[in-house]
Amino acid sequence: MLLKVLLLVSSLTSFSCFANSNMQFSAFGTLALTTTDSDTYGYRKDVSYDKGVFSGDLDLLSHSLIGGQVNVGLSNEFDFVGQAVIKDMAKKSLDNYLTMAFLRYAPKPEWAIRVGRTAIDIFLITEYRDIGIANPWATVPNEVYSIIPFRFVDGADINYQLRLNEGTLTSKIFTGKSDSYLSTSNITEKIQVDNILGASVSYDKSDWIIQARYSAAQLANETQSTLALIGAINTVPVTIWPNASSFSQTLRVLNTNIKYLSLSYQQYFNRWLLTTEFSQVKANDSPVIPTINSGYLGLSYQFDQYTIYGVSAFSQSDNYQFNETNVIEAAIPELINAVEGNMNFYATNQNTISLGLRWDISANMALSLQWSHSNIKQQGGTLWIDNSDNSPKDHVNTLLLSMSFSL
Amino acid sequence: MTRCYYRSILLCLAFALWQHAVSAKEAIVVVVNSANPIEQMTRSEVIDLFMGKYVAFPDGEKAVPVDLDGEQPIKQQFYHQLVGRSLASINAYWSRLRFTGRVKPSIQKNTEQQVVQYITNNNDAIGYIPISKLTKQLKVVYQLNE
Repeated sequence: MLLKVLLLVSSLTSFSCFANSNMQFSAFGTLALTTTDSDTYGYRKDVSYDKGVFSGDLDLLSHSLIGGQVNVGLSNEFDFVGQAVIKDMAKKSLDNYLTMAFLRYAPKPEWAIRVGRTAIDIFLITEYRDIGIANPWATVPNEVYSIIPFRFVDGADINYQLRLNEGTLTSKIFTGKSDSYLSTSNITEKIQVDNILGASVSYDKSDWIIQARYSAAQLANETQSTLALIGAINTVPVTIWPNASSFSQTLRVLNTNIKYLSLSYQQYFNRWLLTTEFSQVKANDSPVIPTINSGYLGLSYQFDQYTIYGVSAFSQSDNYQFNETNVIEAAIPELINAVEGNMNFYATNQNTISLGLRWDISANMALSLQWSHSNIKQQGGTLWIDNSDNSPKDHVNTLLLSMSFSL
Repeated sequence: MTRCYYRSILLCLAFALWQHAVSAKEAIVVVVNSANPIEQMTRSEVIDLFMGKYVAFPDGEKAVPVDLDGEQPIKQQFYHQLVGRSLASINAYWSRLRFTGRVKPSIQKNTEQQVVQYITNNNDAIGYIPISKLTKQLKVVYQLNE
């Protein structure tokens, strides 16, 4: 579908070049250095990334990226936007580098319909999490954003906005599909979601904005590691695990419905900026995906070209512990370990305090230094590359120095 | 003779600084083409338009905002007076809108004269200029520092 959309927009763009076109190129980027003090948990930006930053590492890849964008005005009603972001990722492909390619039809100022690949918009910052200069912090709070590996939606959205009581009320519905990767310390697997249906509403008035988002999506594939685990469980004799085959079916996630909820508020008080968000990821029909509650509160103060900030973030979910009845656990310890690992893949339990300083060298270039102290609970380190066998509780300090720009 | 020479230079410098200060405080006006039916805009309507929140005139017609590129003093003054934020903060804000594809980027011009020229040639354009750059082809719909 994306290919067809791209062909359509490129032909329209070509046509437009001979007609009434205007084209704008722009770019953004981040060059970042990351280091941590943990040998157990390796820092990463999100769960799609397969490399962790461990104690002693000076990593230049996990946060560095460069992006380019083209805006093509085709007529008063139509325009095209294309964007590619080059960065290190677990699986590199042209399709994964392409983050936006959509055609917009805006017949009236109130209405806009976009078709093609758009940035995914399920939480407050998911659309611009990789645009370093757009964020007041060196990186977005991992507790909320690291569990979301998706960057785009292939589909369509409809936006409607109106002025209301000296403010702007904006609403959006979107649908489509997406894919990305999930990585652990030894495996990277593709994850696909289909039938995405989402809605958002925001009210923006002067110095404050309040937003709510709700999305649902259906998992469209089983990972190879889950299928291998199901196969292994099915081979266990009934004398050791009587209901092994029925249990193994509960590990399947195909067609599982995942719901994403986000409530956020942002306000400027002269030089102060307050940002807070609560989010929830929930799947009622699968024990593999627990309910994940997460959120953060950020406060920053700007003076001249400098901004000092602090962010407190948390994520919480229930851990699974193997407690099936009539199972001779001593006979299959490795398999039970694997079951617990699988069931706890999404179980994130941690909180982080971050302090940082941003220096706006110019209007379109900023240098940020951020220190974060993360408190990871037992079996709660999903957001990290875990080098341990038993996922112990741990404290990790992360230092991030980043230079971001836009052109 | 030499003392008189230095005094003249100092006076010239002082006058230049005073002139710069005066021009920096010159009122900024938000203007449209004189053929545009809009007569006045409120502060919040101007904010919505230049901050990409609701890019339309009060009568519901589409608007095409024209901005100055770079970090020109008049641009800094405009955004400081309009929303009380620095250009770095404005650029960070616009990076969210532009690089998420939510909003079409505004038309960028290098000089105030080019802004005047663009609005003169386009009935749906809106921009800001120092009041001294006002021409008969333009109409003031909002004045900052009023």
